[in-house]
Amino acid sequence: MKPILRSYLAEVNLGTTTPGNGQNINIQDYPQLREVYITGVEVFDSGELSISPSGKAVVTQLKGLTLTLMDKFNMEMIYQYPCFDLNPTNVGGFYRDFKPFFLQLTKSYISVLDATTVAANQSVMLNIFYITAKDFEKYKNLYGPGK
Amino acid sequence: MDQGNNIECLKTFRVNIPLNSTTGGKLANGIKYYFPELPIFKGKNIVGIDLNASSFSTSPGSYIVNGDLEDKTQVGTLINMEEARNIYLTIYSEDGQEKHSNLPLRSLFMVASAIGGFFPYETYTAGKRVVKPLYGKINPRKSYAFLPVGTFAVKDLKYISLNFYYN
Repeated sequence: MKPILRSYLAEVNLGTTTPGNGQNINIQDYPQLREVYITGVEVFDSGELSISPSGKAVVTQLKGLTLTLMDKFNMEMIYQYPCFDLNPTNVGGFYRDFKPFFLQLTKSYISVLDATTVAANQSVMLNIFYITAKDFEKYKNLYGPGK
Repeated sequence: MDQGNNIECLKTFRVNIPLNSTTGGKLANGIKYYFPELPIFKGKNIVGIDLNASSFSTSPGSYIVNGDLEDKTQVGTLINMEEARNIYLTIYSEDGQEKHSNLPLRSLFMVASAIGGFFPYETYTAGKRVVKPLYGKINPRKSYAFLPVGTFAVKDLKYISLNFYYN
């Protein structure tokens, strides 16, 4: 596992009605996550978080969800990665670290592949590890060269 | 230990963070509980943080989640594995920027997360200890623990124990 320089807990709320199978839910804009290189991510369910910081219920399981992360060139750098495998609890306590890439969060999304595993108004919690673009040159040797 | 990692560091330091007001107020939701002054970390590079928590079991009990520390020497009681699900940490860098925003406390101590199970007891052991490799210089005085508004069963004098690995 690579060092975690910065992290931000992003909340993806599934909306006021239960999403349908195959629906994509875009991740909202977080000013802190603009102009950043993502270095890793982890996802949590209610086993680790009983409630989100904003007071929303957290999804009870992750098996019906995948994560797609886009870079600034609209390339799907991480495509439909099962959220279950991004929960460190399920993978020996480890988190998934990536070769850093310039994240475009607002075009990234969660896909609901099995809506029976989620409910309306629940949130998927993503803990995103990152380096700001202005710090990237300073710290890139910790992660290897970016693109 | 079926998995785990090792953090190469010069020193470690365990810190207790009380979750009560200066007037002795008990744990409450929607309140930030600031870290104590920790001059020992001034100018030091943190390379990892992990949580020390006590075991949790239901009473009469259908499941047990094992922690790694029991401590009766402090005022209040150590946060247990179940209570840790309700708490977030925000950690500032030495230059005053938000470094880790709403870091789930429970994510600093990963064990099997399944909540449930029936008699005979299901036991979840502390088998997957991974030290989170949080990196950089921090400002403890600006950093805080936060409990969102919502359900949190235990309103009592509590404290968090964090183990810092640093150089």
